[in-house]
Amino acid sequence: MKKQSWNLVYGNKGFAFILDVALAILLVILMLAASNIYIFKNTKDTSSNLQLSKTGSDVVTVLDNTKELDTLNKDSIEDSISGLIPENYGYRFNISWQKSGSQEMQSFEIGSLVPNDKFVATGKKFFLVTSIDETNITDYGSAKYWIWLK
Amino acid sequence: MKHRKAQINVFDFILASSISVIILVLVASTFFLYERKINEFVLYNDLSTKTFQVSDVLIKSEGVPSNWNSTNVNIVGLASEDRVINVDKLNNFIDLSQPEIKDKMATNYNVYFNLTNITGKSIASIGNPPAGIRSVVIKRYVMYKNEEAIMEFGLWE
Repeated sequence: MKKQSWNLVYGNKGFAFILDVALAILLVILMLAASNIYIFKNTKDTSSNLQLSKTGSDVVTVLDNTKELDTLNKDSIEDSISGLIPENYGYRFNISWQKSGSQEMQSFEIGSLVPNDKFVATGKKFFLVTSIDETNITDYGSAKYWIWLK
Repeated sequence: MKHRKAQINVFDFILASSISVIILVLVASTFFLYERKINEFVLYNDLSTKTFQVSDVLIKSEGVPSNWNSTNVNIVGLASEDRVINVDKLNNFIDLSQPEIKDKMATNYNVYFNLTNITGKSIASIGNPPAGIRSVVIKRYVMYKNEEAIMEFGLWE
């Protein structure tokens, strides 16, 4: 039995630009996905990173103000640092110094290994070690720190 | 005049229209969602930046004038030297009212300030802990009376 034809110019054949439709939909979805990724990446909260940076700077300054750095004693400095830095922060400190008039550099390190899979705040502070009466400079030192969220 | 007949496959037309409407709705809702998200991000960023900047001024600067008190202060600073809180300046700061503090800090946000010793015992406090829709509170390590102390500073609305 012959199929009844619609009384149209081209019979019952319709035009469907399926490829155009598929391409257009694909383009729109790709654009939406790209904008989604862009927005997500650029609206991340960075205040926690800034807090890390400020904590490191504050701790090393407080150590300098309390003359703890002047002791150049690893155990004493480590006790002070662990008393200040929050438990959920990881840290590493490198204390280096050289005696006034000497070329020899001495140093020690405190803390854990610096991770390479997360944000690490870092900084450096220079300090002077003076004699008891603060008339002479005995050592020139630097304290470098790395701080991260555990 | 010869009449030209148009031809439309109704099913195709309905399908195409439906797809177009769905796509339009998706794009419009994405636009409005991201606009809200970006606005919120900008507001939070502004709050966060101001909180860190003001806390820096408080603990690193002597203020303006350097011997300021509650009657002549232009810029509030609590430090006698970097990260060392001055007792007199802290007392002057506590004497200021919340509107005065907001004016001197050039902010419309509510101010929260809490200085404690290293064990958490409160030394001085201004304002209420944040209870609004948006807040940033940070901790800074300082010296007060030759002892280590923690300054909590926050802005909120």
